[in-house]
Amino acid sequence: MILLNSQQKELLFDYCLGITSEAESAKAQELVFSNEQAAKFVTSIKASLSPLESITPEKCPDELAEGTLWRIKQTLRTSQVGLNELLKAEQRRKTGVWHNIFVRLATAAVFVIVGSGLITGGRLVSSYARQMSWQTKCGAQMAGLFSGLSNYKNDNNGQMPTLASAPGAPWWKVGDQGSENVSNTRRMWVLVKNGYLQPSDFICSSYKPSCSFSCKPKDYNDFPNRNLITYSFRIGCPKVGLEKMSRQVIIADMSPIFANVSASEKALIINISDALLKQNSPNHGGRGQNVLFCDGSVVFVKGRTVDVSLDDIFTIQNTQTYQGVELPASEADAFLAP
Amino acid sequence: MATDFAKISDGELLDRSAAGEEDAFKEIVSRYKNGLYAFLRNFLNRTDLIDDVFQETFLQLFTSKDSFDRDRPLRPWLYTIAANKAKDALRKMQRTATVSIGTMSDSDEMSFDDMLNVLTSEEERPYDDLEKGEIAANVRRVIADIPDNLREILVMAYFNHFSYKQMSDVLRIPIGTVKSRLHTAVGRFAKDWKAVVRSKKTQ
Repeated sequence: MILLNSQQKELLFDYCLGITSEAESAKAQELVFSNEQAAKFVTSIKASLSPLESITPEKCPDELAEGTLWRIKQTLRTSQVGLNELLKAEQRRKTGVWHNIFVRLATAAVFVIVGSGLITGGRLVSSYARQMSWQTKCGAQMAGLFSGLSNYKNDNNGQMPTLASAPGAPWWKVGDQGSENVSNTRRMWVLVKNGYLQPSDFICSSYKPSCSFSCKPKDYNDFPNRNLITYSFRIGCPKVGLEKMSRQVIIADMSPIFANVSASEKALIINISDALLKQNSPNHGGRGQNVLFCDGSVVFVKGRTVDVSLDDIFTIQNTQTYQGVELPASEADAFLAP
Repeated sequence: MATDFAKISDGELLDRSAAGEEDAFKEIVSRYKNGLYAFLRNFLNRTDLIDDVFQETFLQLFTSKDSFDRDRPLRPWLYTIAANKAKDALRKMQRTATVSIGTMSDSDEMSFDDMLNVLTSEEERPYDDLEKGEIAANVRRVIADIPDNLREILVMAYFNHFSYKQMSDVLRIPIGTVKSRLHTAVGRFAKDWKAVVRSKKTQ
């Protein structure tokens, strides 16, 4: 009888557990047939493991699988992911030849009607209506951001996306792809990277970016550049639950103070002038900004203050100069940047 | 003509699902539901947690399907999500119940030879007196008492037949660690099971 070495014992142990590959299983069987000690060894291991055989594999109950699919459908209905999925499905559905012809005819008819209306009756589509439409779309888009955030939060023990950053680290270098966390936008990029939101969700509908995003999000650590993120986010995200801060602002249209800041600049120094204090976000032609609250509601405000405290959402209280590392002193002082 | 989803790869199913084909994701659920359920049943052993984690796992797969690398197999990725969610659920439950988290400390580690000694030590084959249902209930109890980080490996190896490499990928730990944990888990199970049977005999 040949004694087993430790490699053979490990092979036989793995074989008893059923985790060997086909080739390894064949080798183990050969060993068992040719070596009496191996046969005894296998019998002994299998006997010790045999109580585990009493547990027969249970099949997934049908109602659980159905409930899961139902829950996914519900999520589809309420989340931005869902909106995208529905949009894609809708686009697929509408690819029939007759449908295309119908759409083209209908579009042509609309052009004829609108065109004749314009000729005879002057401008029907005013720029005001257009702006209102963009404003509404932007608000809906922000609500979508909230859905993405909520889905992330639900999947992560109620935690918002957070990233470690060194004390005194800057928060303004949007587009920096280095390993250090130097932009407040990176937390939002976590949502893109993990599929909760799309890069395009972060571009206000009234804003026409000079470039588009076509790469894989997982290859990036942050939004590629400022042009591809036209919203500003609260610095020092609330530590308490969102539900306890229902009237706190978490996202708004791009801050007018940091709108033109580029990550390629070596340092940031911005002095707040009186004129800069009065400016609204550039996203809606300076008429105001959409703001998203912690309770998921979105409001278009014509000024930079959102509640009775008259706290300016784009500045830190009693701070005149910004170097891109400042933090608000308390949760009550909302500060959205960059 | 209806699509025969059964012949389509996981990656393509995810692509189709991303393009809005509802049935494609249904097929993914159908493919993995039984294996995943068995894993959670043996690892969590609590119906309320199993249902939640099962649903959350597929929900996360659905919401993050675009970020999944189509060149890699789906199964390890799915089980990584499931294992993480299951551990989160246990942590949450243990926090509420003020029970300490059951993870193995280094001092509890059992070498391969120690484990073999436990497995092959001469003792009477003990559970002949127990009824089949009773055996299964007791085995479940013994498994449930094994620390989480050992139990997950025992379940993946014995019940789901994951290879060392697959377990290493799913749990994001080195293969050496997987091996030593599996040896400890099996040794621990054998030891605890023998103790259960001994106690039954003295009753």
